[in-house]
Amino acid sequence: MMAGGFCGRILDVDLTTAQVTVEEKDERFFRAYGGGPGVGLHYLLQDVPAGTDPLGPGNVMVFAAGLLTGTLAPSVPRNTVCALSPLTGALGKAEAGGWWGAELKMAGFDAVVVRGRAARPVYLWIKDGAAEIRDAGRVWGKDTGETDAALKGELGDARVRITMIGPGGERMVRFASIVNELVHFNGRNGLGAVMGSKNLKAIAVRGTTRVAAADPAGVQGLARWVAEAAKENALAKLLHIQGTPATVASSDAAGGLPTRNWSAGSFEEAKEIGGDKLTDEYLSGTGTCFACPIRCKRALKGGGPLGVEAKFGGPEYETIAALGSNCGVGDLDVVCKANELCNRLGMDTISTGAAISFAMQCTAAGIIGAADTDGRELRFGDGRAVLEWIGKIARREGFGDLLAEGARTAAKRLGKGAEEYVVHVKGQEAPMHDPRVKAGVGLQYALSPIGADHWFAQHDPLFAPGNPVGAATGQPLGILEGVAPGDLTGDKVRMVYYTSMLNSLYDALGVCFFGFAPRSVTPLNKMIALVQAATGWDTNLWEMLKIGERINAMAREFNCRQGFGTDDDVLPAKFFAPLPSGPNKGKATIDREAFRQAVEMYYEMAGWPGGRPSRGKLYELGLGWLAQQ
Amino acid sequence: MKVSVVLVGGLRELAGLDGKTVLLDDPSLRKVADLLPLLRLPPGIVGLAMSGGRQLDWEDDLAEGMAVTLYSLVGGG
Repeated sequence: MMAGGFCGRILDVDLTTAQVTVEEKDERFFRAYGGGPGVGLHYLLQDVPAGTDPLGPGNVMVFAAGLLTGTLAPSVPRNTVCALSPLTGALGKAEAGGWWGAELKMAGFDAVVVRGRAARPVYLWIKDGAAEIRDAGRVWGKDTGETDAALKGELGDARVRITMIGPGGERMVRFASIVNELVHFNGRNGLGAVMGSKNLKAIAVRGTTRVAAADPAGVQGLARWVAEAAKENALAKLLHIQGTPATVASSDAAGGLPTRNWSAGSFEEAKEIGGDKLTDEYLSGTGTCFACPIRCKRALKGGGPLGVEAKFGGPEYETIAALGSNCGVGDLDVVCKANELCNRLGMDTISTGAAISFAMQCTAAGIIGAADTDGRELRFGDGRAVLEWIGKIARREGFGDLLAEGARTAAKRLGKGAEEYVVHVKGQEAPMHDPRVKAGVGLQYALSPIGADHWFAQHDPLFAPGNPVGAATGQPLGILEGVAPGDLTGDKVRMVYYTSMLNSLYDALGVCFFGFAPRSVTPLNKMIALVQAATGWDTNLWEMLKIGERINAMAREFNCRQGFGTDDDVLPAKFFAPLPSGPNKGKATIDREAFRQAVEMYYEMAGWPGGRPSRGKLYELGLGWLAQQ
Repeated sequence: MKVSVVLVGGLRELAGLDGKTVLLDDPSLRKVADLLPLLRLPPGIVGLAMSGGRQLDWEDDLAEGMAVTLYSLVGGG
């Protein structure tokens, strides 16, 4: 273990040959790429050529902790999984909180690279610097709750941290998630299906060595400062009080709550699924992640008419909207049960909800009927059907087999105009944020390397004129003026560009967006101080942001090599139509030409002429090795 | 001026109030932004203000008897 917050060791596992090796990396590697997606992309760019089958043995998975994850730096619990996505065919990348990433570091590894395919189901057992491939036949077919319990029992240690797939991943549902500790998810891009394709059920980790910081007292001092500040910081307190479900009410009021497969932006039963009701009637308290004082996770009482199991956690905003309003369901019992089923079966709640709401709209449009869906029409508002179809997708039963391919592929195969009803970018179903009420989110959707993603950059309202929250974060970045949410001028592109660097840096460090500025308590200068104390580097915001910019360029280059280009950086037609409801009904929309110009300007800011990083830009970012390939 | 305010999305707890609706009666009330200090809510954490289905700007004038709903600034995840 190096005394700089990282281990300097990457575990490399070839499941085909059952070989386990360790590669050592020096400080320069981590200073260039950080951790998380930086480490993942370093391997993918070398080892996943164009034409690789995402579900074949040639795909490579990288499970990487953040650079600071595992230190006592507060709200830095995250790990990233990268691979070629079976949902999009582009970069697959997803972050998760929890404890798994920290445990991996405490076990002596910064990342795990997984190659090949095992001949039969296996899991990887990592403990204190050693690793072995073990038989997983006993847990193959089991859900995540059963698997977690069985492996902890087999290993004889309840403190083992396990990241795993459920039946959805085993059956290679193209939006299968990876689940750790039952309530934390690398949810998007179908990376659970890649694990399934490799016959890899789980990675269990136990580490007993504290992750050493260069300046432990410095890290502890900053952690104490954050813990105290979080008690007074209004945004941190809001995240604790109600968490992301608070967004249901504000999105609904603004006309931006996806409803009935995005056909409306306000839902008449929004109060029935909102944060107030969830908090008042369903929650038992809050949960948290490694070393985080915010405690924003929703913990359920459980039970109720549908017998919800509390151990699978409570729904976040994306889940409530995707499986609630966007399916026309105004019953929080159903939403909580749907959340449990997705987590239990290992499927992304956004894409699962999107697949079901797409099918509901196909029913409404007469494209499919009862004969296609087991004799009962799949209609908006039918909560029982939502619960049934989650299971059918995971088991690939009947029409569920088609939906398991993702909404875009399902629409292509259905034909009859069904493609009009899929809201996706690059094949990934859109998160639950309508870009017509925050145009910068539209740019994120189009430009994110993983398809529609709401975390590629920060959201517009934070940087609106007069918002002191965005101003405090914007000033160190050089953003001195607010920009209106609907704006798509160069000022907005600049905000998106700078914060896309910041967000990728956060992923590389392992930072949770809900612990750091602009969304929460820890400001940028304290973030830099944490990096300095953990690593011992004489570093600054400029060097750190370059890590984020480097990661974005690597992701772009990876996608270009996989055949993606400017034609893929688009929004669904639906977002260019007027808003269907809310205070800006019929008015607020995105101008197609202004949007195209904004995307072009992002390329210019990034040094991506024609949508691809230039040779000069790659060298400028220290990526000459990519320019030479 | 008397204005009733509904607090949504954790703002009630943040303001330390028991009920979701609070009646403000204060001669200093002029504009929407004036509501925040009276409710002890810091600027920047209220994402949206609405009244009668209309979105309000912070500099909009308040009117006697107006009902305003304030929504917290959070986000998805």
